[in-house]
Amino acid sequence: MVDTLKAAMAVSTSGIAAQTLRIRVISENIANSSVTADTSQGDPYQRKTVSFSSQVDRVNGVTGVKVNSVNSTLGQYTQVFDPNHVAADENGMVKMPKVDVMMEMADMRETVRSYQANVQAVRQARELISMTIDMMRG
Amino acid sequence: MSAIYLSGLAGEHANWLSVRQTVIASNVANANTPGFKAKDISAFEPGQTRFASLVATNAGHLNPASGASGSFKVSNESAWDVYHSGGTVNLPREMMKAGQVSVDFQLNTTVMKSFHRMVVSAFGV
Repeated sequence: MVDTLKAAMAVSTSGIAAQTLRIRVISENIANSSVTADTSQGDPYQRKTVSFSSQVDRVNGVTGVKVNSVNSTLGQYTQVFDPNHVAADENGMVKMPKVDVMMEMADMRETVRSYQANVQAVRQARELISMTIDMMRG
Repeated sequence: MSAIYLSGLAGEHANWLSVRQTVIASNVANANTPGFKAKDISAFEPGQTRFASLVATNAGHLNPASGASGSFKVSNESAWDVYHSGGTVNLPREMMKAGQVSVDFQLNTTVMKSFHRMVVSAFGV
């Protein structure tokens, strides 16, 4: 029974790890939201996205989560008019990364909520274990 | 001595609750997994697990009944809402279920504690 609860903690930990990587990628996107190329031929920063998939732990038989892949959205950019920029083309247009900071913020809020839910699940499993141990105290 | 069965029943129920907690943890961990269907286990029935598992003769042997789901039936639960990515995990609902598990577990351990006190007082210790 306690083994089962420990399996629950392991699953929640996998969730925490996955959400941690997700928030890392989100902060990369925000930090690089105005990174352009050095030349007019170059591409700006490519926005990254993470995708999750569920993963069965064969020892415990429970379903955890893992980060399936971190994808770059290749070839997506917006253009702004800035003729003096080093990366401006012959029309004065500069390729900017297609990072919508509002969207990254919304994504970040969702990540934080999921993270909190996982932490709550760990906390609860720990409480159930200590309730079991407390039975011995009479 | 039907009273002895109480501890067996309580053990079974505690086992069922911990499996349910694991399924909830699995749902929460997969809250953002595309296409993941939220799961739950079948309702508790006394006597469900008594004759279920095989005895492993070696610690290295895999026992198909020893997984977290044990002998309880795990199935997809009816979805409250479905995300665009196909996931059906609703976090508030999972938190609610976890709260129920906590309350039931508390009741279980409290009953066992007081039952144990009764047994101990019968011996006059």
